[in-house]
Amino acid sequence: MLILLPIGLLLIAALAITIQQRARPNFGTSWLIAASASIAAWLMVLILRFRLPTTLEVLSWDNADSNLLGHFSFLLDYNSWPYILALLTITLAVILTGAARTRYDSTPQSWAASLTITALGLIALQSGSSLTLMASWALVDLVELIYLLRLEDASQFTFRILASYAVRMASILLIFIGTIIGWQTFPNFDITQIPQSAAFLFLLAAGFRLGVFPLNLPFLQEPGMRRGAGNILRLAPVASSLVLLARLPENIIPAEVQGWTWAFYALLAIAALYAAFRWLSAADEIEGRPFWIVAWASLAVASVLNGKPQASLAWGLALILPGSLFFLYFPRVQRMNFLLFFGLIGLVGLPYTPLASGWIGLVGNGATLWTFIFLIAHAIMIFGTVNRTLQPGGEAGSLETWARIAYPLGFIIIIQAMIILGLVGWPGSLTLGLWWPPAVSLGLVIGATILIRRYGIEPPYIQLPASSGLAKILDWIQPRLEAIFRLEWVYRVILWFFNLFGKILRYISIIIEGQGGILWTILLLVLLITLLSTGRTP
Amino acid sequence: MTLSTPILWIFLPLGIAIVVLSFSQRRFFGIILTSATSFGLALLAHFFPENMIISIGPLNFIFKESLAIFGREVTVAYEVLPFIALIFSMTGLWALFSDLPNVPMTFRPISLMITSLMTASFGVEPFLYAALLIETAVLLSIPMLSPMGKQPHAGILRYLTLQTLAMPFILLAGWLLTGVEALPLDSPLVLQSALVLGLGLALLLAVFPFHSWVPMVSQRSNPLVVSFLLFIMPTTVLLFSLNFLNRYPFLRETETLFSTLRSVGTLLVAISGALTAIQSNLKRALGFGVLSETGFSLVAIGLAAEGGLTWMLMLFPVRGLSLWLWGMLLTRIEAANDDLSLAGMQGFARRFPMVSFALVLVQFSIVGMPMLGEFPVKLSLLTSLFGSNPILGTWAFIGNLGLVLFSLRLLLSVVSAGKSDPQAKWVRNEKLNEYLPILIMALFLLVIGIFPHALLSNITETLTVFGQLK
Repeated sequence: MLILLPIGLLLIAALAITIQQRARPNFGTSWLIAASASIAAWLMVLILRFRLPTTLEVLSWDNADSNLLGHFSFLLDYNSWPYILALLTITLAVILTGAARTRYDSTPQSWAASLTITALGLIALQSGSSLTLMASWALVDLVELIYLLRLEDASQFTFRILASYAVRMASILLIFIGTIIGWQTFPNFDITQIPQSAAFLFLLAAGFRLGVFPLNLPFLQEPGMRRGAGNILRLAPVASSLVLLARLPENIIPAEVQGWTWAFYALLAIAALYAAFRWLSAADEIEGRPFWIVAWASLAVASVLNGKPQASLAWGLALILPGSLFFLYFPRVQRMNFLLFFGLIGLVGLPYTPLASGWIGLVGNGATLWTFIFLIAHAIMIFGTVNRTLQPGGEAGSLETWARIAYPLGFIIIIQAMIILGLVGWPGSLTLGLWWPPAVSLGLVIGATILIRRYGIEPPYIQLPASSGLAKILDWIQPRLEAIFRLEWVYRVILWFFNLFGKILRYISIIIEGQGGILWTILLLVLLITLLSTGRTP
Repeated sequence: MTLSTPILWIFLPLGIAIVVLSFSQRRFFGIILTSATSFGLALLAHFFPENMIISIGPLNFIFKESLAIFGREVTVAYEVLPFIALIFSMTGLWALFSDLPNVPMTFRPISLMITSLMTASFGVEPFLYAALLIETAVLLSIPMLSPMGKQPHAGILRYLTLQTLAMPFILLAGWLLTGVEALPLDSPLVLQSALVLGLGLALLLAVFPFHSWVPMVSQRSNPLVVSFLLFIMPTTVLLFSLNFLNRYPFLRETETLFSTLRSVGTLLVAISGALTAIQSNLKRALGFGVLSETGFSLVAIGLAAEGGLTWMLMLFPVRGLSLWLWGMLLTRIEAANDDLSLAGMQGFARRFPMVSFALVLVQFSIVGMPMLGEFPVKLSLLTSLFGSNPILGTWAFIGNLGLVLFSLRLLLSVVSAGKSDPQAKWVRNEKLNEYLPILIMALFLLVIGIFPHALLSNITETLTVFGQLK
């Protein structure tokens, strides 16, 4: 039951804030409740590190009378613990840094929402069976759907919100069919024993949710949810998909599609490169956030395809922790800019840093063309992050006194979590790793910096002059590429086929339901009997 | 005092239904009497003692299972009481919430009559008389589908024609089956009698290609009435059809029969799924949704060797609750919106959020989305079907997606702000007494989805009546 305590605590705190806001609104008290609950939950999870792995069987449907299969359980192990700590860390960081954003999007309601989403995210992260995973994903998606639809400016995004929900639902259905297939070989399997026959479907499900496999970016412009609860809302579902990657078996590509492995790599490479370029060219961190997620998630998925699912942990955590350092850094304060360098270090992947163990996932059993493409994507991401790190900030004087303490603390806690996870996150997290991939990546970044300096451009103002030919070409290409990767054209093609299919079926329905319907019924019956009697099942 | 169970569960509700019909203009009287009778009989069936003796003070009521009438025998066995409790409780539920706009006055007494007749249908001996009882129920249902004074629509005539056609097929099959019991399995008469029986049941269950009346009726009649009819008829006919398997060894020992049932069931799931996906009318989607459910029930019978009959029975209560909620919501929506097309529903959720989300939720429950009512059973059923034939399993899964697709289209439609007011705010025009039962039922569907083994296993005891199939 211990592993459910942080979830309970967060939910109680969210409820308390909601009740308090309705009964006697008090900003300070709400903040104190949110901060205390987050700190307590964070400490609890830290202590749980000494009790890994912990399993909690909640419910089983197995019973001779009903012939039903399935069980619900929670599991805290070396794969889920790092993500749980990361998610709680960013929740705590959202509350602490929220002290500096009270004029913007930091409100008691958003803290309550953050705590609730985190609690649901923790349920998803600790899922011990595919049924628990499906249930928790369904719950998280529903809460997100309701939250997004009720936002003030949601009307213009309704289609995108629904498209995103449909993609999420497709991922749940993939787990559904994956469970059915997996149960054929291993009835009632645990999440740690996903059979190879079903593993690819689980990978697809995670890829769908992460937006990388195939690349889909329904939320390029999102409704008014940016830094606080918005950050949790974006990253909590991502974390629950990333943990699934780490649990997949090593040989994931089914024998029947081995010949198509290159296609999967190509899709990932395109996703990683495109997202990295867009992160580099994004106007701010929030505009670049969907691309940040896709780029790092692509590297995590590539690790799984390379047969090193454990390495996806390092890439996944790089997505969540250093990422939040940038997403929550608003308003910028010049004297705090140095904190971002810790995030940068966490992303380069130098030996004995948290990301060092991730390189083995990209290199796999030897460097290939795809490894170099992923390295280029990584270098572009670093380049973009350097650009953001060096951007100037304002004065701390604009913050309230208490916020001057709480605000930096939020970032320090993220850096602290990165160090903890690098040291004791999971067996093998503190490692020399491979020295040459980060060296190549850094070399590319330095080379690019030198190159652009010749054109008079340098960080933090990497932007082509509007008059340059290249800028014009990019301005022309970018919206077209965006339209391609947003998958609007896929939706349109599907819709076209759906309408055509619908027209045919409707026409048949009209005939069958018309005056001569009975005669058509008899004719269809005769045809059906003929088919069945010749041994052909429809 | 000696009584018989048929008096209790067949003749008493019939009598009460006649009383209610006589006072059909007294709405509340009808609602209270019909629902109280139904719930009372359901409770009695649920708590009925196995020794069939009820003692109230000094009075001892001893019940017999059978009652002879006109040389025929009607039996209501103890083993079948869980199923009877289900159908009476569902009838009560429909009656209790029938005080809605456009629900015909005749609905309450006729629904009780139909339930009584269907109860009699699986206990009558010779059991071929069941076909006549079912036909009577079909005829009785016409006034509630097409209220007096209104021109019956084409769907009603189609419904009547196809259901009536079923009766001679069932009677003929019964006559043939008694003759073929002694014949060897390879006799052509065996196949012919099985085919005739199959046709009769297919007509009754509206299996493709006899399904056309279902969307026609559901489009034009009141959704609450249609949902009741589409629950009670297929449910009891499916249970009635098990009689044949139980009685004739040559039927239950023929693997071809089960594989055909799996194929036909999957075909029905796939076709109705595809037709649901393209619907633009909410009432027609209800009809196709029910057809898909019938398909799953046929698949379940086809998987009898793997425990399919248990799953079929476990689906009945969830299906009943879901269809009740679906029918009630559509009736409410029709009263509030008039236009039940997807285009006409634009922005509806912004005015009636609870009703709209409950409608989507109930459709997801029928599909078997995680944590909702039918999820546990559908998951096991599809796993088993996939194990026996991966192609059929895949098609059934794809077919099931049809309703998911329709639900997503519906969701998009109801949450999108209407063209007339693109900045429409979210307001709740529903009163507590309107949405409370909806909320309770939605939560209950969720609870069933989590604890199916505890809440649904009682109904599976009905299988003990089919001794050969257990």
